[in-house]
Amino acid sequence: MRELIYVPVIHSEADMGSLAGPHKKEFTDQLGVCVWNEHIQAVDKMWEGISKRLGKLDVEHANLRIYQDGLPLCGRELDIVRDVAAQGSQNHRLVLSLVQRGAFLEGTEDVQLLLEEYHFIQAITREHGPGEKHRKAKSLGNKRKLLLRRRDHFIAQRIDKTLKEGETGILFAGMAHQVDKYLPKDIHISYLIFRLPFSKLRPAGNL
Amino acid sequence: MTCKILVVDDEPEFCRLLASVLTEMGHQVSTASGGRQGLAKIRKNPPDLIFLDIKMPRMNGLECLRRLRKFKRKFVIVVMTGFGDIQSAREALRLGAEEYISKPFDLDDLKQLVNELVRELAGAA
Repeated sequence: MRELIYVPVIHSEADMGSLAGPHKKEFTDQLGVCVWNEHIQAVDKMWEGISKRLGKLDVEHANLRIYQDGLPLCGRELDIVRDVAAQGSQNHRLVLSLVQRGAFLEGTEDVQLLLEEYHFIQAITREHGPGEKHRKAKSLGNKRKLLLRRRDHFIAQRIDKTLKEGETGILFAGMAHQVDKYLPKDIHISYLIFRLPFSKLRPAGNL
Repeated sequence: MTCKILVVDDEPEFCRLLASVLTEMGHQVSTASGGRQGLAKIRKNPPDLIFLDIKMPRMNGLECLRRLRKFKRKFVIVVMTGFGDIQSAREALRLGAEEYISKPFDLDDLKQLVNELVRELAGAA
C-alpha cells in the first residue's frame, strides 16, 4: 500500500523568491498595508494549523517522502528548501523540520517547466498598472493552464516513480494544482486541510 | 458585535454543539438540518454568517452555496467538511465561500475564526 497525504496550500510571498518584492509592492499600492498585514496573518495561521495537524499524524518519519510544488529535481533540493526557509517561508520551514526528523525530500518538479512558469509570471509583473497586468494575465491564461497540467502530470509521475510500497508521501501543492487527477489508483490519497481562508487571500492573487 | 449566525448541518449533535459555543460567544444562533431548510431559514431571516456543511443528504452544501449566489444579498459563508478534499475546496472557492475548514476543529480555532469574521463584518457595516 502506498499512501499520499495531499496538503492543498495557499502560497505566501516568502515562497515566491525573487518575485516576492514586486508582489508586495503591487499589493500594498492597491489595497494598503493593513490588508497586507491581515493577509500575512491569515497565511501564518494556515501554516500553524497545518503544522499542528501534521504533528498529530502517527507516521514513522523514516518512511516519509516529501514532495513540494515548485521544488525542482536538480540535486540541490535541500539547499533550496534551506534558503527559502531562511527567507521566512513557513511552508519550507515545515518541510525542513520534517526532513530533520528523518523524512526524505524528493525533487518534485521539472526544471524546464518551472522556468516556463517563471517567465509567465515575469511577463505579467513587468506590465505597468493593474489593468495591463490583468489583460496580460488573461491573454496568457490558457497557456498557463496547460503548463500547470503538464507540471501536475510530471509531479504525479515523480511520485509514482519514487514512492515505494509501505511508504507515505506528503505533497504540499498550491490550490490550483490537480496532481491527484494524474496519480495511479494504487496510491491511496488523503487530504489534510486545516483552514483555507479564501477571503483574505483572494485580493492577493494567490488563489 | 452580536451576529446572526445560521449553522446548516445534518448531524444534530454537531449542530447543537456548535450552536451552544456560538451562543455562549454572544451571538444569535439558529440551526438547519439540511440545505433546503437552510435556504428557507435564510430567506425568512437572513443571517450575517453561515456555517455550511458540505456533505448532507438531498441538497449538499455546495448546491446550497450555488443557490445562495443567486440571492441579491451577499453572505459570509464558512464551508465545513469532515472529508476535506481538494475538489470540494476548489468548488467552494469558486462559489465564493469565505473560508473552508475541516472537521473536527478545536474550539479555540473556531472562536478565533468567528471573532475574525465578526470583526470584518463590523468593519464592513
